[in-house]
Amino acid sequence: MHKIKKELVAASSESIILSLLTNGSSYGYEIIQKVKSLSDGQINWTDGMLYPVLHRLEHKGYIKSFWKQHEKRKRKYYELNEEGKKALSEYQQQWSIVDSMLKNLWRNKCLT
Amino acid sequence: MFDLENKIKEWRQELSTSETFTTEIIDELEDHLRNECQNLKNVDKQQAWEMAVKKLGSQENLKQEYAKTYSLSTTDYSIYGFGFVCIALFWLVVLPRIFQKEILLSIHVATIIIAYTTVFLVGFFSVCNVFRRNANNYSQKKLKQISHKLYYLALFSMLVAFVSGTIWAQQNIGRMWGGDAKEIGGLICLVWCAAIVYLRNSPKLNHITYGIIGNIVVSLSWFVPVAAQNILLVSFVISQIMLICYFYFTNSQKYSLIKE
Repeated sequence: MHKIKKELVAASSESIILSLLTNGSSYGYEIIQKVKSLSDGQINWTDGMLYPVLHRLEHKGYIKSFWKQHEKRKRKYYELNEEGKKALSEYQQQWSIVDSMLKNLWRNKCLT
Repeated sequence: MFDLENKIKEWRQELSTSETFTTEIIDELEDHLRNECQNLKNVDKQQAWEMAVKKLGSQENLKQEYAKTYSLSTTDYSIYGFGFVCIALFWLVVLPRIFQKEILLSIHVATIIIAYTTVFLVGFFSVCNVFRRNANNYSQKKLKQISHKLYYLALFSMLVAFVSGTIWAQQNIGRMWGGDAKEIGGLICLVWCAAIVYLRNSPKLNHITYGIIGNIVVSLSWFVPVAAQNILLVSFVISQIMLICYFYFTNSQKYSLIKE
């Protein structure tokens, strides 16, 4: 299977990050690793792309960040807040609509 | 022999030359690189470092990605550009009449008012930011960028005001420097603007603090010496009214320079 196109990866990145953060706070590197493993390597972000997206989500007020000491160095963690939960539920609805519409289209095409 | 710490130091220095990468961004990316280097176990340290940096993406790409989040929008530029062009034009048109078409003096007064007002504007933003309920990293970063740019404008205006003022004084009063309170006030403000522009990227310099201190510097430089001179007092009042109208307008349009 081909890797997912970068446009689709970019469009889904906010939803993916918000969904991952529902399991608790996390940091950039961990998020990248989780995405890689959950998608069986199909979604492979350029590492540097994730951080600006995290900053954008923070600026939108969906997530908040905090620094924590880790092995003699500090690490920036992100966690979902109430606004983020609302945004995620909207994203879920929107992706569900797109998903069911595409499924319908493809099913009908197969039937004809 | 490969020294990871040294490489990280060089990499940090390279990144810090760009205004886009704040210390916080660099710290976060450094943590990422260290994690990636630790994770790459089948290669030597140098290869791991090179692979990690490559995977992070080029500096130019990173800059573009961050710029999407942090750069000022065209709306921001057009609003504050429009505001200052209006103020500048007003003074450049009105002042020659006030000073009976003495061009040098009108340039001096117009530019010094623009400079003082600009420093005040930075202070105004800083005060607003202190009282903002939802100030976040983004608004801080944006405010910092705006403050820097406005200070460039203030320094430029102060320099023009200083040069035009000294030439005018030489031609009309027969001396370049009188050392009165107004001139010393102007000089203090010029030195202040130059110091802020010079130290703008220093991590110890907080843009909120210097914005607010700038207000005090200008207040002392401007109001104390001109308290007895009605014409400058009038000019100050008019410029402040214009600024208030300007903010009223931008807010009514749901635009704000320090909001999203």
